Order: sequence, then C-alpha cells, then structure tokens
Amino acid sequence: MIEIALKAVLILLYATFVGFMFMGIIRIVTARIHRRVGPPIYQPILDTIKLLSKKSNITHGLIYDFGIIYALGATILALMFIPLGSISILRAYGDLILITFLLEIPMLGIMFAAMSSGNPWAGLGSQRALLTLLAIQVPLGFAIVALAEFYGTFSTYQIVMAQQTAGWSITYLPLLLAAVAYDLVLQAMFGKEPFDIMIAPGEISLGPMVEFGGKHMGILQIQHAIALFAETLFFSNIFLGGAVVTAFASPILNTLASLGILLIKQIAVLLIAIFIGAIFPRFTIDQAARFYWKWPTIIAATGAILAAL
Amino acid sequence: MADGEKEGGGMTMKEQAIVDRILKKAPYAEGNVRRERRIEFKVPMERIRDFLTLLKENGFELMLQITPVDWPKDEEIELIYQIWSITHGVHTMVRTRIPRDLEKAKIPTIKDIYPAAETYERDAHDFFGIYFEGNWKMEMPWILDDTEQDVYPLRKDFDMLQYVKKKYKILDRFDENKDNYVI
Amino acid sequence: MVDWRLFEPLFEFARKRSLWIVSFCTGCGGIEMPPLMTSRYDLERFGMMPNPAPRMADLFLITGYVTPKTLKRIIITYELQPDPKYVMAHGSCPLNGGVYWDAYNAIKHIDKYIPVDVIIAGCMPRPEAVMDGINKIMEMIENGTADSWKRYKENYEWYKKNQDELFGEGWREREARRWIPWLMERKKGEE
Repeated sequence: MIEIALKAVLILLYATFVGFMFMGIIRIVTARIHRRVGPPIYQPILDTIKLLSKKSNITHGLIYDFGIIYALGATILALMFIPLGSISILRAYGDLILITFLLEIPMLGIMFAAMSSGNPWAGLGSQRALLTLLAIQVPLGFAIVALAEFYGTFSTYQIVMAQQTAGWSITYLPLLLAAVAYDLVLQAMFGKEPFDIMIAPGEISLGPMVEFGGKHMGILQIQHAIALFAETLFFSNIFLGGAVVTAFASPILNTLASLGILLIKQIAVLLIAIFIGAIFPRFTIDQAARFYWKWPTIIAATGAILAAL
Repeated sequence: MADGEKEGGGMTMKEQAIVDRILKKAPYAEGNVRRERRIEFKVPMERIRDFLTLLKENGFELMLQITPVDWPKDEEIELIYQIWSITHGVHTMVRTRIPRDLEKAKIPTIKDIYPAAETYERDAHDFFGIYFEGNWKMEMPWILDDTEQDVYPLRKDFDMLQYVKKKYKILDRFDENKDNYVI
Repeated sequence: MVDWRLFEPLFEFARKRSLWIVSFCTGCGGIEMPPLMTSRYDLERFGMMPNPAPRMADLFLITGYVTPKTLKRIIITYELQPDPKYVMAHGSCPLNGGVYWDAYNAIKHIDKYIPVDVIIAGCMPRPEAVMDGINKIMEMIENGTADSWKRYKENYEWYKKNQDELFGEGWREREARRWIPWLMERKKGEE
C-alpha cells in the first residue's frame, strides 16, 4: 500500500519535472529556429512559480474553480495508466480506449471552466476547441482500431511486451500509416501550429485561457506539463516500442535505463512536433476540420484495413 | 486657358483635353491645369452634386479625401474634394466655399455618388462643424470623445492653449506673461 | 501551516525573470516593440513574453502618447490584472506631454491617473535604452521597491478623483453604453 503510494508520488514528480523541461525545450528550440537566444530551459518552472504567487485571485464561481481541478485530475489519472518502464502502478488495466478518453477530458474541463466565466472570447475559443476535438476523433479512432486489429488486444501493456520480441510497431506498414495519422493528431492535442486555433494568441486573446490568471493559470501550466509527458509517453509506448529493460541485475538500474530510453523516444516525438509547429501558420477551424477528415482519415483507414487482412 | 505649361508643352495635353471636355458640359465651373497629372476645378456650392456626378461619369472613380480649409478672414470654409481617376491617371481637386458660421455651414452629402465620402464627411463634421445633410451617420461617434464633441478643435479661432489649461490643468512650458513659448 | 513569507526571495526571483507583457502597444512607441522581441535584441531570454490576456500578465507598457480615449481603456485593462503588477512608460510623452504639450487630445502627466514604476526617456527610446529600463525594473523588483500596485490600492481615492475630473463622473457606464443606440439602429436596417 505504502509502496504503491510512493510509486505514484514519484511518478507524479518525475512527470511534472520532465514535463516542464519539455515545455522549456519547446520554447528554446523554437527560439533557436528563429535565430534568437531564447529563454533558459527551466523557464516554465519560473513562470509557474510566478503565477502561483500572485496575490489577488479572481474567481467566477464554483464551476470555474472546479473545471481546472477536473482537468488536472484527469491528466494525472491518465498518467497512472500508461506503462512507464516497470514502475507504473495501474498498467494492467490501461487499455487504449481508456487512455485516449482520459487524455481528452482536460480539454473538456478547461472548456466548461472557461465558458462559465462569461467572457465572449472564452466562449468563442471553447467552441473552436470542441470542434477541433470533434475533428480529431475520426483518424484517432481508426489508428486505435488498426493497433487493436494488428496485435489482437486492447491492452497497452501487452502491446509493449509484444514489441519487445516482434520489433517496433512502425516497422510494419499498416501501423506505420496509423502512426503517421496519430502524429498529426498529436499536433492538435499539444496545441501547436498549424492546429492551435483553440489557443490562438492575438486572434481571440488566447481563447479559453483568457480569463484564467494567477493560481488557476499556474495549475493549468502544471496540467500542460503532465499532459505533454503523458501524450508523448503514450505515443512512444504504442508505436516506438516502449522500453522494458531486463539487462541489469538490480531493478533500480533497470528502471533508470528504461526511463532513459523512453526519454529519448519522447524527445524525438516532441522535436518532430516542434519542427512542424515552427514552420506552419495557423489553420482556421473549417480548414482544420476539413483537413482532418480528409487525409489523416484516409491514411488511418488504410492502415486499419491493411491490419485486418 | 492654357495654363500650367512647363518644358515640353505637350506634356499637359491630356489634362487640358480632360478639363476642356468637362467644362463644356458644366459651364458654371472654372478649371485649370496645375501641372502634369494635377487639375483643379472651382464650383459654386449649389451645383456640387451635379458636378461630381458629371465627374464620376467621365472616369473619375476614386474619392481620396475631403479636406476642409478654414479662411477666417473671408468668413468661409473651403471644401476640397480630392478625386483620382484610374482610367486617366489624373488627380483633381474640386473646390467649393461655404459660409463659416455654425448654423449656416451646411452642404448636401455626396455619399450616394461616392460611398467612401460618408466617412470623410463625418471627419469634417467632427473637426470643423460642417453639417452634411442627408448623411444619416452624422451624429455617430467618430474620433473625438464626448467631452470634445461641440468644440470643433481644428477651426482657426479655437484657443488651444486655454482649452488645454482648462482640461489638464498642467501646461508646463507656457508662460502667460509672454507671447511666445518658453522652452 | 507554511509561512509563505519565507519564500519571498524565490518568489521575487521568479517574478523578475518571467515578466509577461500585456500586448497593448499603442502610441508611437509600439513600433519599437517588434525590434525588441525579434532576433537582434531578444527579449525572450529574460523570460518576457507578450501575452494577449490581461488576466495573466504583469507588466504594462505605455509606449508613447496617451489620448483620453486610450486612457479609459488603459485604466480598465490595468484594473483587470491581478497583483502584483508593474507599469513602465516609454518616451517623454507620458512624462510631461512631450511634443504634444499643447495638444487638446494628449494626456500630459500620466502619473496622475495610473501609477508608473519606471519611465524611460527618449522620443522613442532605442531598444538598448528599453533594455536599460528593463534592467532597472528587474532590480526594483528584487529590492521590493516596485510597489506601484500598492500605491494604487492605498491612494485609490486620489487616482479616482483625477480620473473623474478628466472624464466626468460615471464614465465607465457611459463608455460602455455609447455605441449601443447605433448598433441597435443598424440592426433594424440601413437608412
């Protein structure tokens, strides 16, 4: 019992810290692409400390406060289900559909917290974010179905174990197509260009985030950090092989080695997202929906059909 | 009237032809050529709408600006309609004069001839006090705030420094005992 | 439980190294903002980021002259920000009117209406001068002397009196209602 609680806390701290480093990596790599110097890597930690130490707190009622906690809770719960080397605590129960569902709930939580504030920009941004969420469901569904058809199981842990013997998922053609479609969906889930219509700075004043300040925004930054970690971890687990290292004798070294390999894979996924995000401008919401229902759907559906054969 | 001849008198042939053609149809106006691509007309106030309709039919499509000029000694405000012709490549100024008094400074609107004139007329109304009859947006808030609505700040008899002193109560660099400004 | 005052140095360090700027750059000095934020004089290495939402931002830049119309919006935006917040003014126009010292439409002394921490002289100050000012405001945050938000709270009656003298009493409601009759008339149909 104590051991499980200790593992949970350690996973949480590790995920938060590495998530903040990922946010810092996003900012500094984007800055270097623009030929600037960029902030230091630990900048998001300073941002969060500053936001949490604001002295006045503006609140619009119960739903406003509750939506944020709801979003953070859903992300933490999703984190517990994803296999992280050998120390995840609920990995036997984490199947693909559950984790995908839990990773989409934070957006809903932020939506109803934002809409309850009454700001028109927040309402507009929430509508667009919900439309984006609707647009990404179709390629996502086909990618998950392709995975399930290929491996014959929905459980994430068994997919990871199957990849240890059979090689990475993306070496097979149907799963390569599914991975490409899922990578495009990841761009929208991170909120990066070209699909950052929901968090469009300057256009709708940051969309749903316009009314959050102080402590609410600090909690949202923590949620963003953990969500980045969880989404990249999920992708590396189901498509890039995960990491289950049994080479060393002591379990601690095994854990550290698997965490290290997972970190490298996650940073690779993140760098692809940053590079795509640095080049493209923003799609409007109808262009984004039309895009998602055309090419990624075709690619993912082809992958699903090929996987079933 | 072959004014505006510079070196190479043939340079202003096209503009002179345009001026002659328009003056033939509108004998109440006067016009001349200032230089290449610049012509000007002077029209009495009552015939301004007919004249501008005539110009629009003759190829002057684009209304650039309505510039009011305040002549306090003549007791008149001169309105200059600046119009550009895309087909000919010629800029023209159409001048009229209206009385300066606030009750008498009225002129019919031309926003059905040139739709862009609606905004310029609001501009002239806010700053000079000229009322354009027929423009339903005349009282719509434009640039000036509520406190400056009836002040008409760009008229020449507006006492700027007294107004500033009354409104902001700080006027750093003006010494009231002297006529000029102290830096 | 925990005495948060022990963590004050950490909070001041975090506040000084991650100032978020409200994107409200009107006036002539708005043209000096893009050179600051792009590659040559990079402002992001100090952690400063432009942020469109006033609820998340701390630093307010008043870049250049201010008209009464703009001042109403500045006051409303300034009061939307959560504490602690800092104000930095660029140029000589907020100081004493600048080139518009005899204009009917430019505010002469902005410290009467909004508390200001740092004023940078110049017409418009170059990016190096603005970086100097940013350095000064970071020092002031570290010492704890950047307390314009406290001044606003404590002397609110004085600021309110000045604002009401300039705009007239009840200016917020009047400003919010100013356009409504015209919008309603438009909806009923043109002309």
